Amino acid sequence: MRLLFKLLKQNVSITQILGFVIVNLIGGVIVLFGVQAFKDFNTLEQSEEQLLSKSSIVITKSVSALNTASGVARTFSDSEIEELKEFASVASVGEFRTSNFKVKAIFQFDEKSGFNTDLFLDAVPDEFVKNSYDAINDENIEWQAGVDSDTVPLILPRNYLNLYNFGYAASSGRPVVSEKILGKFPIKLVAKDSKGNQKEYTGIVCGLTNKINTILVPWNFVTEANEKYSNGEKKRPTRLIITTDAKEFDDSVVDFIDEKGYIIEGDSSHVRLQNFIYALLFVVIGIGFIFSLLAFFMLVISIMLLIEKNKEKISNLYSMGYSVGRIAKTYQYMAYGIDAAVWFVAAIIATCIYPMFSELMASASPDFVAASLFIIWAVAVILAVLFASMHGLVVYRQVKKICK
Amino acid sequence: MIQTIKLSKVNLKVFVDMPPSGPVSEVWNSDVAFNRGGSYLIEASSGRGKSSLCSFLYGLRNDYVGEISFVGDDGREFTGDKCDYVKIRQQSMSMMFQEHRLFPELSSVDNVMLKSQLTGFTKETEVREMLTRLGLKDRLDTLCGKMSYGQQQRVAFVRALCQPCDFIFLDEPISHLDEGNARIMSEMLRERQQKDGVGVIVTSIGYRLPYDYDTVLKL
Repeated sequence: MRLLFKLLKQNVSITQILGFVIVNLIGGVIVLFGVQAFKDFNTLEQSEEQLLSKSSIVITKSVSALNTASGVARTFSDSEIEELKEFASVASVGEFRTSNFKVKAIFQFDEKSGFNTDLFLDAVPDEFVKNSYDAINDENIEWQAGVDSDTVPLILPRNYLNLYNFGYAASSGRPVVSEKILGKFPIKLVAKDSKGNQKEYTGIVCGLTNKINTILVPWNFVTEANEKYSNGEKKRPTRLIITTDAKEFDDSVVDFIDEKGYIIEGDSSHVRLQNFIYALLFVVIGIGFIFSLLAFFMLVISIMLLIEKNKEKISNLYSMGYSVGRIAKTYQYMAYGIDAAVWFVAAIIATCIYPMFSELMASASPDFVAASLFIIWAVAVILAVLFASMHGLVVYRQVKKICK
Repeated sequence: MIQTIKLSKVNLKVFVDMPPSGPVSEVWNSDVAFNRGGSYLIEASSGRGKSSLCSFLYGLRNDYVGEISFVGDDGREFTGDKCDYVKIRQQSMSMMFQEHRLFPELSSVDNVMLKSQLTGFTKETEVREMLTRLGLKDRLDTLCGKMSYGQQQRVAFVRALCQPCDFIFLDEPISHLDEGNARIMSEMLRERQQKDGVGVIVTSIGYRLPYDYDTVLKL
């Protein structure tokens, strides 16, 4: 093998190989970085919104000065709900039911500190919550409560936690609370009717959502409590929850909602922003891949030229009794070595620079946990093997062409 | 192991296309058999297809008509177009090419070892001894590209001996050698033939390798 390598390495162009190495390094680092960023962003997206999946959004009607003056809330009529249901990509539409009685929430951190506030509760039909709720609820608290229950499961807007962590906790020197331990802090809820009758419930936080800006409780609890603590009058919904058959909402639904003058609750630009970030990551990965592909073909051409330059030697070796496979192996090992080295270095560079990006992500989102960089190495190994195999195949075919 | 190489009405395609139907000789368009252990001289003037015949037998070219077949020691016969020539070139047939086919960027020892390491048939010390015997002692580590044609011819000859085989083809092996080196070459060839019982097929355009040929064929 030593002699064969000594013979066949003649005419190797260092410039061409250097060109390949540089271009492939640039492409490789971009691809590996992009794939890791994509994975982390995806994980963050999933962890941020498990309760009400990407396939659901909450809409309201915009409030105008006229509404303010008349004091009439803008509710959804039956025909408007039907129109939404008929929209092709809408799978189901659920109404929000709001508490019509006074509710006070008391947040007690310890014996000395805490705060309380008046608020109201919301409910959507249980099927919009239940599936994902069951999957993420570690405490096995059922999404179910009646007016006579002592505990009530709650879903809080994520904004509340952010408000606490970045506002109250920061200013009062209290420790920040992560989503995972939020369930350990029960919230006291006091429901009161107009005659002064009241009942105390223990609210247990079972999840957070970006999509609803009010506290969500089980449908049955609000229905029964409205009857018990108010006159039981049914009001038209001011908000609707919509789900789609697709994995997530496409822009056509968002455009339709815009057209109708409805507003997506929560972070209204979230869907578009999320799609934009995904598209951006795809473009980044795509650019990296184009670089890598260019480099791949650079090495192919380089190898083909080298083999062509050594054509006579290869032909003589073949006539001496060397098999195509054995001759090709010299160039294949060369290509394998270069591919492996380039992807190894690309993975090292990506591993070194990625933490800078993850620090940036972590400062933007407290729930961002820097994932293991395994994906960088896994993708690097896969692409190195893929590139090397294809280079190996090209070499074999080229040598075989000479050894006819 | 190949015991016999048979040629049955073999002729160059290019000859066949010539009117009336190409030349007829003791080899072309005839039935010839080369047996293991035998020694054959094929004589012809230039342009009669000596090197082409070697290439046909060695499986490097197939632009011929007729049939070339090999008979194994088990009596089975297989034709040239159904052979694994890589295996045959490693184990059964050795060729000293007229144009040598050496690698100018390798030394004479490396050129021979490149062949020998395919099968591990000859050690480097033996290679050095053989080259020394042919007067190349001070050229052992010289690049072949810097050696004379006659020196290269001797290296090519040693290379042909450094592999296991049933037949050795020597295509004009001494065209650039003096009598002394030609005599040493034939001694080395005879030793090899006596040791392993190989068949020897030599071509010549007039200047013969001195050897006890069993058969002389005119091409």
